[in-house]
Amino acid sequence: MSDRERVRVVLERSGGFAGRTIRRGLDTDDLPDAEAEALRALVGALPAAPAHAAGPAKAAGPDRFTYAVAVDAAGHQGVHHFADPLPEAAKSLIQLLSKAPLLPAHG
Amino acid sequence: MSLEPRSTAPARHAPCAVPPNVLERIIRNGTTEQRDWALSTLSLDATARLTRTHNAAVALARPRRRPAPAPAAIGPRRTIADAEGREILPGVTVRTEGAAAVEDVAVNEAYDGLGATFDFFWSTYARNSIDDEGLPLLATVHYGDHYDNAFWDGQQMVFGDGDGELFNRFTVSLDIIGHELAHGVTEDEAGLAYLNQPGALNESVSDVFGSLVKQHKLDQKAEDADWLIGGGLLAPGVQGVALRSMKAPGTAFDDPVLGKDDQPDHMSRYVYTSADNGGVHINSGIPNKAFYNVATAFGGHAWEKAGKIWYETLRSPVLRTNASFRSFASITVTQARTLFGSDGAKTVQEGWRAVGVRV
Ligand SMILES: [Zn+2]
Repeated sequence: MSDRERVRVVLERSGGFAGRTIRRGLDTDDLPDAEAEALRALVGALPAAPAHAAGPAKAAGPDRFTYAVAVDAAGHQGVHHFADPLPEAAKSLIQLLSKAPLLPAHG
Repeated sequence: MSLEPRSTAPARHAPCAVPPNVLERIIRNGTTEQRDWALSTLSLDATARLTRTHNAAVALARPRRRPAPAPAAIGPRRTIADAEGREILPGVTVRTEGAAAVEDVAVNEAYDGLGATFDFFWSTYARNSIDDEGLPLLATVHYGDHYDNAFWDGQQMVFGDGDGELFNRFTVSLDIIGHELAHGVTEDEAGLAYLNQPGALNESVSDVFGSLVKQHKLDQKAEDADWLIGGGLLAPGVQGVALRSMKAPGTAFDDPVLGKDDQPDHMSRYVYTSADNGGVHINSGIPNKAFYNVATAFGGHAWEKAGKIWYETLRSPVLRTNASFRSFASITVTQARTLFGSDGAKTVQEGWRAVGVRV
């Protein structure tokens, strides 16, 4: 992924005690250079996106979270599905996105 | 991949139709051959309750060589630990059973909430902790960074501090603590699959007992309770009163970020979705409302009749891990008849029919 490339990522977190889908997102265009670069690196470290659309992950237990990370970048488009406990390759990105600005609810 | 609970949930019952109490009698009174057969039949059932029945039966069948240890005093045996903002369990112990309150409000809320939940199950249903065998209660607070959740991980309680934007700390409301510990009880007794209708029942049972823990603590009657789940959890500025309303599902919040509370209160509005394990936190509105209907129709303390019926349903050997609303409802009617006669059964039947579940 090149230095200046625009990367947009939206996290949809579902389940949990609340059972609500909460959306948060980051866009390299809105970030200072160092943070934009960190976001590009974390997205680059994700496991390869599935070849065809997969359904939501199944929660590991009652009230545990599931996550869908939608990536929109030139060389990398797709939706990654995860559940707690998170794989190492996704942990830092999801922790970062969990503090990102909130987006309006769907629907 | 099939999402049918039938394929994911192991069969809960021994492949024979002999009820466990009959098997127990055979173990006590049968011939050696009959006893061996009954013991092996009982051991095919993997639920903890039947394992206990099995173990008790084995103990009866084979006399003890050593005297039983003196039973420990009945009590919650609480330990509260602090994860200090990391996602590591259990963290540093900060308060143990009998110790004085500390400065940290989350620690004290967790301690008191575990105590109130233990006290509820023990004083109303003579249940000795989550597993009915006196399991010591462990809770970790300050889990993760701005962590937006509380959960029972199969062994302990975990509470996050919330992000402060949408949610406050998850120890804030007693019904949340009761809800999470009730997941442990459901797992121990019924093993309801966490998907589609059995998943929504699993969620509803936790809301029911979470709310009852709070009503019991406040000594409230059904008609005086607020029937809200997660009151106090929504951060300032979020438009809503709680996360769920058992009295009026679908009315707890309406917020630009959280969306609108979309819990149905009737089968005709059941939500089909692949999110949230088939909408387990959405469709729980239907059995929640049925419980509310039954509890208010009986009147008085909701744990005495409606709660007792639901508790015995959860413990019933005929409740399957993949139970539908209808099969769960029909067991509540049977339990109501056993406990409170045909008038009780009628009250329960009407409560379910009002939400479109035919029993
Ligand atoms: Zn739950």
